[in-house]
Amino acid sequence: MAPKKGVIEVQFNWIFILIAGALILGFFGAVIMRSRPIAEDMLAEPILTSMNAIITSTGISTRTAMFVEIPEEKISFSCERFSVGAFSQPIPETNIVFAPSETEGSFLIAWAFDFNIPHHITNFLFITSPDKRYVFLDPSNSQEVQRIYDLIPSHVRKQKFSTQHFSVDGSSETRIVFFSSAGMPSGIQHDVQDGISAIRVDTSSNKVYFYERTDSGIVEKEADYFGDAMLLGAVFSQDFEDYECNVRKIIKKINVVNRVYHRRTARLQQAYPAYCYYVPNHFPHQITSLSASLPQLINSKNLLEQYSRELDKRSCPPVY
Amino acid sequence: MKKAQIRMFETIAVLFIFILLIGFGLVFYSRMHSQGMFDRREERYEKHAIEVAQAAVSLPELKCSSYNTVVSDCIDYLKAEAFIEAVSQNPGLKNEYYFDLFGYSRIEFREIFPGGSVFVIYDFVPEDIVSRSTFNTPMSLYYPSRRTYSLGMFTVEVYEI
Repeated sequence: MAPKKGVIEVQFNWIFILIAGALILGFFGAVIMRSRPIAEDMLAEPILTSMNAIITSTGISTRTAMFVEIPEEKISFSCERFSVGAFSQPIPETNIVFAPSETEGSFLIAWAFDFNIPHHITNFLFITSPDKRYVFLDPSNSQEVQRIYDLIPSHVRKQKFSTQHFSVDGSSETRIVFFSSAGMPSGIQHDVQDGISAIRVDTSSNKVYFYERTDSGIVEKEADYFGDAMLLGAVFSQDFEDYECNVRKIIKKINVVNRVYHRRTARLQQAYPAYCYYVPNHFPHQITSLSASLPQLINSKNLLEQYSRELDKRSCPPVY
Repeated sequence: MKKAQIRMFETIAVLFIFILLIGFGLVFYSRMHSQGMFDRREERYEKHAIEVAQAAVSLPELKCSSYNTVVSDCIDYLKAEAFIEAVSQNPGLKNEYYFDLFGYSRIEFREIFPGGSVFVIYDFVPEDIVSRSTFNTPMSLYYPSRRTYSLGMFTVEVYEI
């Protein structure tokens, strides 16, 4: 009998050890599983905070590029929000951000550029990463294109060629910017694919054309731009839809700012004698689309620049 | 049999106390952690107040400028007046457009010298406030019609709901 008792005791002992061990392992496993989302939250939170700070500080300093060090996490951008993993935050409608759809790596390049018409409307924020390449092709080798090219900080991976032929090696994401009013060469159109995008800029008509590959071939989408800031926005935008979304935000901002300036100018007109020539209507504030209002905006810009010189000569307060 | 039972009870007791100690450790750790998170949340709201203030004073709709040369720490009185009127006449501007930027907050300018006027630039105070954080900074107020400056305090108060 005694041996049977010992056998039963040993077996029960092992069963008990197994059950207790499984319970302990299960308990700690549950703790780990519960704390994993919190750890992911803690990893995403500083990135979201940094990006928020960068977007908020756009209004403060312009034309200075920043290298932003971030953890090796994928950040996704759209016109209205940015996200890190499962966590996302909206981009305020007052902020205009041109960024690639995704960035990954330990660095981001961020720089703000002022948008003036000629009075200051807002600052655009351009975000890119060191692995993205921007290639300017200018067959006419014009000074205007060189001027625009020089506006982009040297930290950004950019190249310029005075040719309309360019072979893409596909080793990095590339945006080809072709300057011509005659059309996009078929060779470059053919190169458009995942990772390689192209736009054509016609500086004579303030138009930019986005080329996208679809199932039915290459599609050309036309958009307008007004000023260097919007042209750079087209260069740094993801695609046509992203650019148009930001243009809608820009139009709203123009209307809001111009409404303020319109009223301010009306008050100055009442406060100062007639030789201080203030015209509130130089600030159009009911713009609905850029293509329809572009001539009006260009005209207002020219008139404001002309009248501001006159006001300055007459020692009148600046209109903007 | 009794010896085996005693030993088994001993083992169970040891395990029970072990799990109890682990439990105490976890409760203590989670309380420390939540206190740390609470402190970080407070800090975040203070930073948010500063961010709202920076965003407000850098708005082209409010800041002083002379042909795009910005005058630091200065608000243009005529712009502020027009801004307040535009926001009051367009609820969409306050509830959506600027809410994205300022959130639940109150932004006011209190003139100190030479005048004493107070004007509220933006005001979206929620009904249920859990906490608030205030940021004050001295600022100039420029009157373009008189070409004079006055000194005042720019106050931003953000609310947590």
